Amino acid sequence: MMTAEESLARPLRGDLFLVLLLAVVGALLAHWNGANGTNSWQVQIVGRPEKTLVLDGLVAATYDTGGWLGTATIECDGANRWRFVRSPCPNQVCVRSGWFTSPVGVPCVPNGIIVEPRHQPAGVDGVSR
Amino acid sequence: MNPPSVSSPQIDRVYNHNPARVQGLRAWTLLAVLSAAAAALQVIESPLPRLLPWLKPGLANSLTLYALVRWTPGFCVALVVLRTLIAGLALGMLLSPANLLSLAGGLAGALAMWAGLLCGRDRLSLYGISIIGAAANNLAQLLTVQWMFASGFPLWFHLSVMLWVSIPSGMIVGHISRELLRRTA
Repeated sequence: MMTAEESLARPLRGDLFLVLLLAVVGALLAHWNGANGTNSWQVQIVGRPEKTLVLDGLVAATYDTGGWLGTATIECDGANRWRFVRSPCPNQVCVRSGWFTSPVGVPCVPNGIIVEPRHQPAGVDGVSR
Repeated sequence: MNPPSVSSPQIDRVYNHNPARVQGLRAWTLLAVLSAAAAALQVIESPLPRLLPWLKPGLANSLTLYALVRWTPGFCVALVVLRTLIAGLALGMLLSPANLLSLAGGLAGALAMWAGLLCGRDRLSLYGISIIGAAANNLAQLLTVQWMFASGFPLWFHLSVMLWVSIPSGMIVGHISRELLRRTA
């Protein structure tokens, strides 16, 4: 007779169902988000809204912004891609991640910087009477 | 599973032939060893290049799953807390936002795997339980970022990528846990 540990070691049908479920939910979420592309980005420093920067994804440029730990440099390549060029964070995870494209928004957690898609408000933008 | 009896004469002498105290000593020692090993895995994994900042296999979770199956949920939670603090200390990020993200993800993963172990009996193997843990770990980290950072953060896009990534990473972690359990049976 198998012990509980031995029975856990053999893959079961429920595992396959779980894999399919996650793959389908992931695909649906990606499809749903795929329509939300943008050409502009905003760089926010958590707790310092006055330092918010707007990046135009279609203009090649380099931007410096001050985070919690120090100044980070963000580069846009003009083809709606951007990356962290320099950051004072300890592990340099953001820098090593390379180029990002729409609709990904990425934070550098240690430095308190978040770069996220900037969506234009849709529909009615004012009310008069 | 109860730990095997310890028959070291030195330990017996120090603990005055008290089996409960010897068992306690053994549990603390095992917790220390597993925490150090899990923290080492987390530190080693940290500088590896990745597609998105938080996408990594989470190899330290293999020891969490091992502790959950072989020991108790309380032991497992203690292991997650200790390994996060040790890894944070080693990486120079103790109690930083990144360290708190790791703690939130680790605890959520451990709780989800415990729930999977309880509810998925005869339906899920170590692989499935590990995938649930990986998905919960990712979701908890994203929700923590959402809470700590901006409200406009594109949570759902990242979640879709992380759900896909949790499948292979969960399988890798599940396989490592299976080998650990088999080799230490």
